[in-house]
Amino acid sequence: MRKALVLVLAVVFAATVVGCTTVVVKEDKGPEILLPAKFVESVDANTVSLRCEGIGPDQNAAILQARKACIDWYITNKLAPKASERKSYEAVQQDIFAKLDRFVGHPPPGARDGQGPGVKSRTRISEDKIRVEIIVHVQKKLLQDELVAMGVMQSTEDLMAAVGQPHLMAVPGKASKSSKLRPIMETLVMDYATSQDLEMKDPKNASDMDKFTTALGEVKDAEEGEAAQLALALGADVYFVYEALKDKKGDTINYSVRVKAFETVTSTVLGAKEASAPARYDDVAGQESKALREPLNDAMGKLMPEVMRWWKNTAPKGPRFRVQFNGGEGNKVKNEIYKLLKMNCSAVKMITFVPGEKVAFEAQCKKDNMEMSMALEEAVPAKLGTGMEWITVTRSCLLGKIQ
Amino acid sequence: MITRGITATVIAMCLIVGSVSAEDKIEKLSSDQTQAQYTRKSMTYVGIGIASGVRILPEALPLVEQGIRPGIELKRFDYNQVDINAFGSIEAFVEALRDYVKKRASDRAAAEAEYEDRFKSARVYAKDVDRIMSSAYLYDIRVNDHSVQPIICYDEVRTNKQGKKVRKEICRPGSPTSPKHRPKMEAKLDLSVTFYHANLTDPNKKPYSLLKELRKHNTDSVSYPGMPRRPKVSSPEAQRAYQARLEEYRRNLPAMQRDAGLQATGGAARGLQAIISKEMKQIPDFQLKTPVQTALSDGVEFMLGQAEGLGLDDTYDVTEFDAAGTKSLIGYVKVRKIGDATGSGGGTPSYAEKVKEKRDFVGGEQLYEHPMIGINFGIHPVFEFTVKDILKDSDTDEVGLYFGGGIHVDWDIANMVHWPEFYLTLDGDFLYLGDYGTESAFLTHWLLGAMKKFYIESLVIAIGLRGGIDYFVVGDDDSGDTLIGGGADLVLGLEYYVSPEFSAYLNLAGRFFTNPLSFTGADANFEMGAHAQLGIRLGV
Repeated sequence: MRKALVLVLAVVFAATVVGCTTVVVKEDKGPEILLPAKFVESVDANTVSLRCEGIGPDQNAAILQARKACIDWYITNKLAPKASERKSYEAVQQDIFAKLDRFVGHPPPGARDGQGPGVKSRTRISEDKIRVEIIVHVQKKLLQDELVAMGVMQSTEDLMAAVGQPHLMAVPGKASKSSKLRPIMETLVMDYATSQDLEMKDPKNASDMDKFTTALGEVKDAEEGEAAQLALALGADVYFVYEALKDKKGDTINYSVRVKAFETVTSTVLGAKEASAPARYDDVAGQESKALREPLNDAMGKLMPEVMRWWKNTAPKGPRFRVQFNGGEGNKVKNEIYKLLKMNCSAVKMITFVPGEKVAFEAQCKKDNMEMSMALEEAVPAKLGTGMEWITVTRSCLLGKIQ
Repeated sequence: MITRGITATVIAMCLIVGSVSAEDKIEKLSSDQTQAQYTRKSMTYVGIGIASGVRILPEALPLVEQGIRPGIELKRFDYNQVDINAFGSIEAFVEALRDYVKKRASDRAAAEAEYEDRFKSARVYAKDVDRIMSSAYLYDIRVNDHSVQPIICYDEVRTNKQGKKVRKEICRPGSPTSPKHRPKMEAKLDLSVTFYHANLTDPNKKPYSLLKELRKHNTDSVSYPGMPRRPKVSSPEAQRAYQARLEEYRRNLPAMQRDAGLQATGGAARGLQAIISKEMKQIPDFQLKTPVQTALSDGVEFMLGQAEGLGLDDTYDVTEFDAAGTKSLIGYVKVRKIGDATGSGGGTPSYAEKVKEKRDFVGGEQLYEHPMIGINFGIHPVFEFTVKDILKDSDTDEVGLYFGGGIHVDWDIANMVHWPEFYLTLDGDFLYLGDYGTESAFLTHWLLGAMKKFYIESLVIAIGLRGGIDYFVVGDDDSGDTLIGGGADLVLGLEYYVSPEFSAYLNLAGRFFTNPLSFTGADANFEMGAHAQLGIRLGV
């Protein structure tokens, strides 16, 4: 009887303890749902403006999530889009989020007249969740440095130190050539390049162009033949052709700017971007320049990453040249030059051959222009049994004459 | 030829794509209705007009303007100091206004626009200037009806059914003909304030369009001196002097009536100021609105402030939108601290205390101004307990228990004393005391005092101190021999805030008043006890 009583008490006690003990169940925290962002504009060379969304129980939580979504989208779509880079990024994602304030701004209070950074929208989507839409500035340079330090991506500087910076040139397109805006555009393009630490060739510095273009002849298949000739003469790796299209209605003015990037040697289009900014009143001082600069900045801001991506891929394979010889005995010149180039270069392709007149090749070589010109100087007379001289040697063009 | 055609097509395509991109960019940069922000409007007063057939003295018009304009010309507007009289027509005036506003619009747009790093200056698009240009408004005042008439009031003593003399005040139109007449001028004013949206952007369209007409009427009266009294002595000198005074009075009467009439007209206009101001603030174009910047445990912070003329105790609706764009009201807040914040993000935010919350405020809600005049009217049944019965002698042990009804008016003077929820309060009650002899006895109190309220969300605790008079009424005797006493009470109140327009309250007061009966020589008890009011309050 006593045992039974003890047993009953023990069961009751155990049941009470079990019933009253708080059981802590640690739930696995699933991955955060980060919504995709949208690119708004390039603020400057180091900063971009993005529109992002976040969901949370309150505004602070939703904004935090939106800010995370901003850098998550920018990293996975712009800075480290390769599968390997993305995988590395996922491993350090939380470390980057821990330093969120360094890379992404807070939406400022009371966005000015609804423009620029700020909370743009806030809606309730369920009893306990709201969705906010924000525009914030992302410090792309700082973010990129952090990703490099974390080993997610290779440093652009390191890469560029190894392969060198591309030499660029920008000229107005046919429609804008005689425009009174041309000096403004040239200054703006030069400013943009300087702010990005890029080497920009000034087309005004090209001397003896008539002699050069006569010797070079027409650049076949080049959409912008004159620009291509200029780029070859100046030794630019890439040339940009820009057009500004003016739209004036009453007192207001707005510009659409279209920029196309070409690889100099082949005249391949590397990218084309277009941007325009909302209209401004042109009777207010300084507005026309801003109306032009803003879309130009945006277009260049969109185009430059594509150019740099192409340069990162192509530069390690060696410099690209247009190698052209005028005169000499037709087939022999063509064949011997081709053989010499094949010996020194990884890729050689003939562009033009006019027997007895000229032969031109595209070549990507491990040697730079000086090494290549010296190598050809030694080899060509030996192979052809006749003398030669260089008309022009630039970073992207070796133009010679068989005597 | 073909190349030219292609070039033209490309250019045309670029222009089309360009304009689409521009739209996209604006859309990307702009906030939507869930985060709307009041932006300053410019306001121009066009002038005062009179409806045909209305007679009003030219001198009365400036008084009407002075009475109305302070209620309209609020800090939230910029005023264009343009003299419309210099132009022959409103069209010519708008044309001039167009140039005037445009010169300033770019500066104003720059002041409101986002600072842009790349230009080291503000980002000002044509759209911003157009918005400023499109936020120009005009208003005029129009007197639709106006009349001023002399009124005389006098006391008429009649004998009631019980044979008692009862005094009643009688008022009727007319000029004084007896020294017993109390003369005044009564002005009736019917006016409209009409707001127009000025079209300053497109000269090919109508220069202005009607936004809203507010039509109101009011009556006010102003007293002027009555006729001289006859001399008590009947000497010829006294009679002559009286006749001279009478002559002078009659000579001055038109001027006195005219002055009093003008004052009454001005008073009638001033009486409309608050209601017109309130209704104007309800017009969506003029209503203050802003998103909640920070949700705190007891209130919200937001980016409006002194520049918009924010006032203490101003009420704001707290709303939010769902994904379908449907707006719902989720509570109310009242302004407690006014910062110098601007809608564009500078300065310190203002703070508003939460007074009603149907759903937790989590930040980002949209605030809309809920304009109020700041006057509350309360009506309540009254219960009073006194330590000793008022109608009995001082040696009685009987307690008094009375009931009746009462009203009160609270006027929010927070902005005058810079102390939130501080009210000037006027309270009147009418208590049935029981039978006094063969008649029913009533005690009436009128108290004036101050009251401070503390909000614990929708629960309001009030404390007030009031002083005033009480007077004794027996039967329907109103012969002028009313017995008057004096006293004060200390009130503690509990109120439940339902909406800015409605609340329910329970007030408990400790009350001490002299007994008017003691002035008859009776050995009457003081009115000392507790007073309870249970009522509803309507806010305007």
